[in-house]
Amino acid sequence: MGALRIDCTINGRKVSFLAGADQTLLEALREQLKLKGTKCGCGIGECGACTVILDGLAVCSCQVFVAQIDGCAILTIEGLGQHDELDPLQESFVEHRAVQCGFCTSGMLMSAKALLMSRKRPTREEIRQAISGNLCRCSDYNNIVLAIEDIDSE
Amino acid sequence: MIRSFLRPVTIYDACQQMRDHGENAVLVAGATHVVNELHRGLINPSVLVDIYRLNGLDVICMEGEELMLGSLVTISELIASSVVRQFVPALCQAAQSVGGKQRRNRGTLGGSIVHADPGDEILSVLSAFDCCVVLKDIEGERVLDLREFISGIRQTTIRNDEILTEVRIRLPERGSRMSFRKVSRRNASSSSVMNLTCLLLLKDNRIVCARLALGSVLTKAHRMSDAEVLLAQKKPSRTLFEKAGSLVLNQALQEAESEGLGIVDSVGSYKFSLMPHFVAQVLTETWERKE
Amino acid sequence: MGLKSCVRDDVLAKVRGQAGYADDLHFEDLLHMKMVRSPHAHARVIDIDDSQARALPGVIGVYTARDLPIKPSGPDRPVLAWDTVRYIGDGVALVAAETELVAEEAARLVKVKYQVLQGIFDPEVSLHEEAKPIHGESNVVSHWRIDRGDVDKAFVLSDVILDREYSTHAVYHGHMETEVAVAQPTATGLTIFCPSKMPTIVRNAVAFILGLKQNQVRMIQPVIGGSFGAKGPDAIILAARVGLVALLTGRACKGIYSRQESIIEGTKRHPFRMKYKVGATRDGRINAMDICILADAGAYRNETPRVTARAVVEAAGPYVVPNLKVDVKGVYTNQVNSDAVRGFGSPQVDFASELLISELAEVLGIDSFKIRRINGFKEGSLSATGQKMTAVGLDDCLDALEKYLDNNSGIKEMMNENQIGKRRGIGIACMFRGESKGAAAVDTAGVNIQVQPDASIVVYSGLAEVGQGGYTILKCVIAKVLGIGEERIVVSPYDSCYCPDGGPTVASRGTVTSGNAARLAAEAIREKLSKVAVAKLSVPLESLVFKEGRIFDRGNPTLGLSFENAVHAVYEAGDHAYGYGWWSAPETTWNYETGDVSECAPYFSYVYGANAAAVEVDLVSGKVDVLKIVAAHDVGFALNPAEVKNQIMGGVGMGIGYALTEDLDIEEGRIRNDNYDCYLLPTSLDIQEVVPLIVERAGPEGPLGAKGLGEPATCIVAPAILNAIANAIGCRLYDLPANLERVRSGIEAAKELSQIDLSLNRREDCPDISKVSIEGNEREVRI
Repeated sequence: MGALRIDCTINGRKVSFLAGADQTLLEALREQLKLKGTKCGCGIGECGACTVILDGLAVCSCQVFVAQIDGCAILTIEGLGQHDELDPLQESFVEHRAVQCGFCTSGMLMSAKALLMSRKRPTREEIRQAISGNLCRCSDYNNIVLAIEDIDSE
Repeated sequence: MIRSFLRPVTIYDACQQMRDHGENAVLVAGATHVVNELHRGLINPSVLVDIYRLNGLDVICMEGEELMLGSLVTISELIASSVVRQFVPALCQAAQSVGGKQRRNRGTLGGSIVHADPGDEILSVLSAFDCCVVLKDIEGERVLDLREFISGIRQTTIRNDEILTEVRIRLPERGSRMSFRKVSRRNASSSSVMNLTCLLLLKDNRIVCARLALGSVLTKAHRMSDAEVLLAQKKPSRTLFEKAGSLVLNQALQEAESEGLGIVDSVGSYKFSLMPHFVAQVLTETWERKE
Repeated sequence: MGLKSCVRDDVLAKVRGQAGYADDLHFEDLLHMKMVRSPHAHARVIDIDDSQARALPGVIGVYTARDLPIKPSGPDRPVLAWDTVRYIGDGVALVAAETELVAEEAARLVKVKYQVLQGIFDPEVSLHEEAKPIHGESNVVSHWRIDRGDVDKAFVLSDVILDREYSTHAVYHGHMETEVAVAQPTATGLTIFCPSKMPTIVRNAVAFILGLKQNQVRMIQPVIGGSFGAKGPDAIILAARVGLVALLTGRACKGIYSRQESIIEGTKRHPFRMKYKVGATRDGRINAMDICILADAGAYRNETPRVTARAVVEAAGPYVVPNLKVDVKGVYTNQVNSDAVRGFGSPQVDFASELLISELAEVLGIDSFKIRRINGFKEGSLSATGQKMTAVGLDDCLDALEKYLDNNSGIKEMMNENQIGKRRGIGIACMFRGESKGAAAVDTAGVNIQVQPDASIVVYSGLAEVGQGGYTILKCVIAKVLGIGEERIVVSPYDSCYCPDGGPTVASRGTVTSGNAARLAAEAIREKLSKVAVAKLSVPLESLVFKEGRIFDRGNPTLGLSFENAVHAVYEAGDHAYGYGWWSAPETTWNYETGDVSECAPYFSYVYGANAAAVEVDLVSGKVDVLKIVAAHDVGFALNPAEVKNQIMGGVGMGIGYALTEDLDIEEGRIRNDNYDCYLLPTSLDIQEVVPLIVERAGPEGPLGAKGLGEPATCIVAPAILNAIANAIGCRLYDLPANLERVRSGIEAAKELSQIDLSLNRREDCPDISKVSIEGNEREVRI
């Protein structure tokens, strides 16, 4: 299996690593880069647990070959907030009780973040659309929607 | 086992690489189909050729009476395009109904077409129009009518060393109304149980001509010509639309038989029971749609 | 209710992506385990040829049941099949290799020769005399009966009789984190990391399977990504598999299932077939019910006896039925692999009883709330098993629901907004449910509280935090008893080295069992601190108040000492500030000898609920959209109101899936939709508004009167939705799920009866629905 060198920016930092030709971005994030916050839920891009932001767009990292992201900028859950301060979205999720088992949370936050990066004050319908590719079994999505709605974005 | 991942810089390079590696190579764009096919063992290439960032294949523009869409236009870009929204709004409707946002952000127009799923929403809309695809290889290019291009369930006439670069849609005449509707089991990320694209050219409150493309029933989206003939030059009415629905059903049943698709299960009998009513409903909706 | 909701401290790590789920943990020198599973529903294993697999570089070993220290036997699912596989997905062999890829490839190279046997795919076929038993002597796993009064006579005296058949289907738990386990060999035995709903039980089972003592196996619980009744036997089996590799190779081993593997091999909800006959007088009073239920246990016993036990108790609904016959059988087939799923038999019987009583109401021209009140349990009513019911919150729930529906005129307006081609309807359902394990099971939990010398607190509990906020319940209870803020308390993650057995986190029992154990432990500490306070303050014991971090005299609040000083004093005197609580449920009775449970007290307490659903049905496609669910649940006392609401809302989400879109497409034991592209959980666009209503009728046994909620939250959503569909289209459905095909058939049937005219917005001049009889469901009406 030919190893490729991948150079990209992850959470604002330039990284360089070797990856297999058929590795997905999800696998590389978790294995080579040790960023375990992004989860594998189904492997076929249906559950959204592996959502990251790639060049500003929410994508399922299990559906992207890591070889394709050479030169790209990726934001993962680890890039939200600082080590001593939560991103307003994360705080809102905590406040609105939008987290139960937490397995969908990373992906959910990234879809929400991508929405807020492209749209200030989205409507409730837009929020539902933005997270419709993120499955949550613990909730009815309503607290998550409220948490995203409650962001006072500039 | 994938041994190499190639990132050609130009379309020509990509075609050359596909020619060089032959059946061992598979093209990758958004990768939303290829990743899954690879994992399921449906394909077993040793080379992947990544064309996702090739220049010039993501353009949307008008050329005379044709709307040109680059094959790397993503599904999200289709939805966001004011040009598409203005001239082929049904395509936006169809695109919006595909997958979740993540899939739409990554999946491409070309990917949908080449995948040729019988239920593909975008293909259903394209099938309602005079539409052709442009295929390039190292020798040049050929232009194929979409109907010739799609040859069966997940089958196209693309050669392994060709790249689909462009889709050209002949725009409908002024005074046309169109809509796309799909029946699905849930409201997001749900494949079509049945879908229909309806295009009506109207003049003085009469239907001049109609196009109906039925998807997810036969091996590919199908123009329902019998009903189109019935609708031509008629004044719209509930009875007319119901008759059209019956004709669609009859033609679909005949086509299904000739394609060797029987009504084998409850889903099949549901589709055919629903069909005439669904068609009438979409016709009504299209007719009542404000421009 | 007044109690401010505790903030969960697991949530911070989760929003940061730092929570340690099992697949996130790092281990050195790990082997990877992949499975070889049966492609046949029923077959004898003739030969396993692993030579090609073993030859692959990187493969450490291929193991079968013959490598286990004890031969698997009995009707429960084995770690690996001995010589017979009984469902598609039954584990036959496992491969351990240096990488996942090699293990996967090697698993494909293992050649198993099978002798395919006749499979049974229908529980009714399973009961035939000629049907070969799948286990032992008979295909009947369990058989429970109730026979009270004289049903035959009572039917004769009834004005109305309805005879109905209902069916429910197999569904998947849908936990977002799939099954995973890591086993590490240690000097004395094994350490296992495995997310499960019952860590101590998994530990004990794995020890037994691998021939170890319980104290040789250490179970450490990582963060769990959902359970919903799963991660029980599935966790035991996976943990035992990797444990076996660890013991035999001396190396750590990890096994993780893909979503497909989880769906194919994992356990599912029991499909039920139910025949209900009800007789009532025209004033709405139920005279008699005769109920016959067949539960498809699938290939192995698992929890079928207890699921069917619950079903027999709850089959007649929360209603007084003076003449009652219930017969519930669980039977083996090769079609499925059934086990505990959130609700554990209740959703199935509630589906039937609530559809039936709503239909009865319609036939008699009685309001759906009224008929439930007429027949519903009151304080002192006798249940189906002759138990006197107390702390009955049924009317409270019905009242709360009805009040909400009446006062929130939005609902009435919503119902009248019919668009062309669509129809809206509203339906209700109510329930009762026995708390905790019941049926004379051992039902206990322990909690250990260690107040540190600096007065910070660590809690050790056997409860599994599966996402429900269970740990915060412990904190709330302890904080209340000791009069301190819950921020002082940390609940230790589960480690069998330190944590007592909490029993399984099932049956919605966590709050009552572990909550009570925490209460007892906290009370033990309170007693110690009280002694110190009495000495220091020179006041009698009875006058002490524990509040806001102080212990003070009720009559003279300034006379007191801080919680910290009290703790210091305890330690200075050479004593400790630890407390241990072991709680055992009050006695419940059951009849395991004959199975006749007509006179039993199967649960020590019960919870109640009432739900309403408003739906919109597309008259062309049959698509049902749920516009609103209002869910009133009696939780006794809401220790954490925000998490109570979360449970209700999440339970509703799962119930909507059960009612409409989730459907395992199983043909002769083969599951055809084995991933989330075709197994459809509700998305954010499929659930609209959910209104949780908290009702509090204090339970006799829960800490501070609290009752369990996890499962009730999902039990009556489906019947409420189906009653709403019936209200919308004028035709009843009797089977789950109410998918497009079924709803459309219902619409067609209703159209034939002129219930629906597509050109009209309102249902006008409709014939009397009581005269309608749907094929296969006979109705005899004598009015």
